[in-house]
Amino acid sequence: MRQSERVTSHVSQSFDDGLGALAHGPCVLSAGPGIGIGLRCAFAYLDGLLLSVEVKAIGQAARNAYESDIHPGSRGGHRHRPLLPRSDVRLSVPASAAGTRPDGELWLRLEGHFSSRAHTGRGYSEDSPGTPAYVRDLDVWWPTLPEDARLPLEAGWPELGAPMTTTVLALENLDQLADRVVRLA
Amino acid sequence: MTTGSPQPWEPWQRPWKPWQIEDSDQTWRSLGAIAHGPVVLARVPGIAIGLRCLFAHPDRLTAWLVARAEAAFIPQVLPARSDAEARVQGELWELWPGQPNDPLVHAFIDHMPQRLALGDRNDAYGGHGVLHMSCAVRILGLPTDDKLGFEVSWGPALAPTSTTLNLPNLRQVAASAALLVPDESGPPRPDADR
Repeated sequence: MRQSERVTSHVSQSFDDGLGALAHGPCVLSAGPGIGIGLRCAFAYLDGLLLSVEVKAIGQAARNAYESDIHPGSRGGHRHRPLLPRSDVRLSVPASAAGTRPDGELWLRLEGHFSSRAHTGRGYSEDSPGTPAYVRDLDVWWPTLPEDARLPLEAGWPELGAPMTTTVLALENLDQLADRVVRLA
Repeated sequence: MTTGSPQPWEPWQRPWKPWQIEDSDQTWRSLGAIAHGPVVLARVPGIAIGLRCLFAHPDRLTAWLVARAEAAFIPQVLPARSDAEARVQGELWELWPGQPNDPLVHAFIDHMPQRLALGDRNDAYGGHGVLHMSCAVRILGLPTDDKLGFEVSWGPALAPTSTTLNLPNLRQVAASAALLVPDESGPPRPDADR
């Protein structure tokens, strides 16, 4: 079991206590040779959005991801010195987005690395045979609901060939949200 | 490695170590498509287990499971329901990668049970006397009857609770899963044919 770090204290408790309401389905945010960044889904809560993002790479792009990853210590405790200049996937909401925070900051709340074969059937290590693969899940909290139900999301990892691309998410099911949110607690 | 067949094993073959089964290339590269939204699978005082989302891939499913337990209700043991079950589980799951105190979750595809590897979790943390778990787990194969069963239990605190999800047109949904990872040669360029 890996203990996740709470990156910020600003995240709503509603994320913990409920499943939310489905507001958006899967869509590719940015892609390049052997690498893709996608939104798996977005869940709406009364006080914000949970955006579940998946990053996958294969072949040379996967090697480059591991060798430039700024979080090497969180992959099963195997710390190594990256061989490439450190970089990371970038996610942001443009500051010009109406009804959003002026700084455009996305709060990275939880992060999971799936790097072993036990998790995805594919992985990467120096001594493992086959094509290297990189898989990473990012759960991101956006602390407001856009008034027009449209959220521009900029994503990319240019250093690895996934260009910065802005996708405007058309969010659904924001009406009568209090009745739609599925609660656990 | 799975093949193009929707089921990665024959009906009489139990997948002994499903966590060692590799995804097909098509499924691995896919982002998935929404097959079902949030639903509570079991809830008793102090404990709740839910499905946040179910994704369909070309030849399997991904279930995003969430569990919440108040500390006073977290079971410390996970007893088998009978001596026979204990014996069978001991033989079948001696190399199981999950935590012994995890909730016990089975998925049923065409009435065939699969114990889900909650060891795939990407998050587990405690705080304020509450344990939270969140994990995306693979369910191998696609049901032929568009129905997916779940049975969840958690030691003595949560008795086995069954839920059946209806997944209409699942195969069409699975086939519509978006490609996330293009070939290393890159995504097709609009001017490639010019």
